[in-house]
Amino acid sequence: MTTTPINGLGASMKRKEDARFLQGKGNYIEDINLPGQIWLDIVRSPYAHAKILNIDTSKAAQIPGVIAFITGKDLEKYGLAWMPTLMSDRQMVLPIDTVKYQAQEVVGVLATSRYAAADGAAAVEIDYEPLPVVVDPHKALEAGATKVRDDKESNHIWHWEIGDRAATDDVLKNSHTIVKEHIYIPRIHVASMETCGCVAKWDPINKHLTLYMTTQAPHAIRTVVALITGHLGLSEENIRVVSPDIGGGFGGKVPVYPGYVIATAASVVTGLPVKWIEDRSENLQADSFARDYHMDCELGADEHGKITALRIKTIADHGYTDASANPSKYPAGMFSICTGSYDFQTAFTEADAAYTNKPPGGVAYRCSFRVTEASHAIERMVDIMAHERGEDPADFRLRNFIKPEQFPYKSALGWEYDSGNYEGALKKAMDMIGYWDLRKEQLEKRARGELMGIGISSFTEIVGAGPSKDFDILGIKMFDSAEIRIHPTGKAIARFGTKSQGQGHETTYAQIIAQELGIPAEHIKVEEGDTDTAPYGLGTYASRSTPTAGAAAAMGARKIREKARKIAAHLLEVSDDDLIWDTNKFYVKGAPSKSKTIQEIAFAAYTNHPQGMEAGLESTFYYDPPNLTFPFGSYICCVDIDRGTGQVSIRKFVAIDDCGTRINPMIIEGQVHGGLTMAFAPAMMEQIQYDENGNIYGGNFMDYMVPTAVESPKWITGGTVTPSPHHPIGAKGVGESPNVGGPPAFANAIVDAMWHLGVRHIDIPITPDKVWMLLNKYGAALAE
Amino acid sequence: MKLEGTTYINAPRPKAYEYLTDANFVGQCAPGVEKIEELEVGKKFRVVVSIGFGMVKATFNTDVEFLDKRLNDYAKIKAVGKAPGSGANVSAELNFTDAAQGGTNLKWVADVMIIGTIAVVANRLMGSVTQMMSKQFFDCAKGKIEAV
Repeated sequence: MTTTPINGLGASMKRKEDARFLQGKGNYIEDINLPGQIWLDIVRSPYAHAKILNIDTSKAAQIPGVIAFITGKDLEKYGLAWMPTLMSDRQMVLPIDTVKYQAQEVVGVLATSRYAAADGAAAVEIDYEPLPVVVDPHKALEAGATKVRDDKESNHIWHWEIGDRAATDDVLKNSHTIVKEHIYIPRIHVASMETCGCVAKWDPINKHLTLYMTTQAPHAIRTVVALITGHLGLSEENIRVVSPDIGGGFGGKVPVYPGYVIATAASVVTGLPVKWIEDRSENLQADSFARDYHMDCELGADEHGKITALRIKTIADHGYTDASANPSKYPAGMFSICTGSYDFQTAFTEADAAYTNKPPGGVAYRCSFRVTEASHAIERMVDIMAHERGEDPADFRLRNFIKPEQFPYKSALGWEYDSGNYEGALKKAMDMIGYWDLRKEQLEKRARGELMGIGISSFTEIVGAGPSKDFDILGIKMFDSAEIRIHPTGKAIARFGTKSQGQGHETTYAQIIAQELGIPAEHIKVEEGDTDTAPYGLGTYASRSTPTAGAAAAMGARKIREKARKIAAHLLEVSDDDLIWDTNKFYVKGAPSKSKTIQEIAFAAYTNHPQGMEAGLESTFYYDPPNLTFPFGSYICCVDIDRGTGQVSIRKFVAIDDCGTRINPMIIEGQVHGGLTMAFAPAMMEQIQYDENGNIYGGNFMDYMVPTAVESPKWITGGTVTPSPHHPIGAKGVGESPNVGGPPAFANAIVDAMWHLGVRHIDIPITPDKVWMLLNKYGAALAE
Repeated sequence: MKLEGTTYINAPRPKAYEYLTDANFVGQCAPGVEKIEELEVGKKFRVVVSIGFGMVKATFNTDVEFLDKRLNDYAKIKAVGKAPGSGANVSAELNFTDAAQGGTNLKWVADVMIIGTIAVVANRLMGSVTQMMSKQFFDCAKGKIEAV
């Protein structure tokens, strides 16, 4: 008889969800169509800052199929023209009189088909009076600057700082070597394969709203909708948010976008289901962005090459509202992880956020709350310091790493790193890529006038938000949850407050439960995304699912196992203490043949449970992590540069990741491949820019370069395993590590190739024209 | 975007001024003009202009107004155009002076702001196309005035 393998921790089982995805049978927003449904399209502002003088819908109303229009003035009557952001700022749903960025929503057009709605939107005529535009956050913070927000005193949003300013000044002043660099990480967009959208269905009889939408955090959205609409009588028990299959989120599907609210309002007004889906340009131009960090960095070292102190001053461009999705206490996210993998005890960092006439945001791009920014800063500065000292960057890092025996390690900016072996990861990466042979080759090539560079990034991440004492969003604590039910036949269903967007939760959560209960992962159905059925949770972003909901799955399964022990004792007529758990059964101490499998126990839970015991076999567990987790890794990139064109060829890239206990190595491999490609993208290609009028350059796929298989390098991956001591299964999270650690590896390699020419730094994206301009500046560009 | 240039027109200054401040004449040379409607005699016009930047084309409903006119010397024009998802704001000044060899020197300066979809999609072509259209216009106007 063939038995189904349990496929617990460490099994590279194929993803359960892939059966439907690979056959084109996923259920995305586009696939959801309700009877009587109408469509919403949105007229957007061509101006970055302008007064609305007049809105004329008369021509649009003549278009067959066009039903109605919604403006800010319509929403204002219901107190819905503005809504709160996740950072307790506020954001327009539709403007009443002034637009604040190009592509801002201005008028909603409802029609019987998507085409009619689009034609109607194109026919709406709006008169604007242009107002002065400010797109540079430095200028926005100057005295007398054009004020972006009429309801604020200035363009300064907040100031945040951490560390010892005076001590850092003092230590830096007395350091043997100080390196300084201005590092800019531009505005980028996650450009997920699926854009945002929703289907809102208001039931006027039962006063019930069902909202199918592309969200990474359905429960948080339900609560936000209840808060926004509470004054209109919509109550949280009558709101059901369903997040179906999602085609990539990466942070971009955390915020509440105006389109969701307009569609919901339209459904309430018309009594019909309303569907809204962005097109690609709307997605790139108007949805929340990532990065836009201007960082002035200083790093000190003593005469022996030990790092002494770090100081970083940041200007953060948040667009016209602070709609980022950071935990409330951390307006700059987890940027204070900027001391990285290195052992030094003096640091200070501060950030000032500015309003500009750009779309809102500051959301993540496959990273945990500004960790990519922090990682880029420290990894670039460490590399600059090593080169400045004339030392190999690997040797410099190995000397300065926090040592394995120093964990748990308290960083200069207050974090307690759980575990790590940075030296082990770097040495493994160096072995795999043949580091010293490459250095030898580099010298030989340099002697021939050829440009070759090797870049290292030894990053430390901070994920798994988070412990409730410090972490909340809009006051809701950032725990997460699992509800597990074992069926009488020993199969199971598990529901979670998180929401997969491609991470493979249906497989990995099942594997965690399989490990704990011995039920084959194949027979554990995982559900997420429906607030009517799933336990409350804060959703999936910032690599938090495994550290929080994954832990809840393990803990919930252990609760079930403890009850199963009592049932087994009852069935075997022994004491609980006489039973030993082994893989998928309890057996009696000293009599291994006398045992009950989890399937037998499950059946008994519904047919023969001990009198006095509650029947059934299920649990709900809310996991409040005691600490964050700190995944890490070392990446090494080898590049060749064409002196004639500035073209950079990625010859070899080795990535060693340590995410603690590995649940499914094959899924980790997939995550790392995807993450590295999403690191390559902003390092080498992606950028959204604005001209002085606030026009967006990079708001479509002609200008916003996303790598395809053609451009993407070959990734060589590996790992080390250093479990988290506080996580129930020792796991840390991996989905974002490559995106956090990747960009500085590329940048360091390219600067390394040109350091001897005089090049000290290049801001990402490192495009061929930027490289060629530098080669030309330093006399190394080939004339032909 | 600031554009400027000087065009020599082999015609007396009053003639050059007369033609270049006549909306109907200007419409014959301005690229893409489909329709001109005079709203206020000699001062305000509504013009439909179809402009293409590479593969991207848009039809602008444009309100044109002479903000200032000094006979035979100077004219200041403002144009505000609307197209679905796009907009254009143009401010232009024309200075007419006698050329030393006879005829007229026309010095012109224009501040062009294109915003929205056209600017976003066609940004790489914006400068060159605008320059080309300016040249087409003044070459055409010069030729027609000199031929009359």
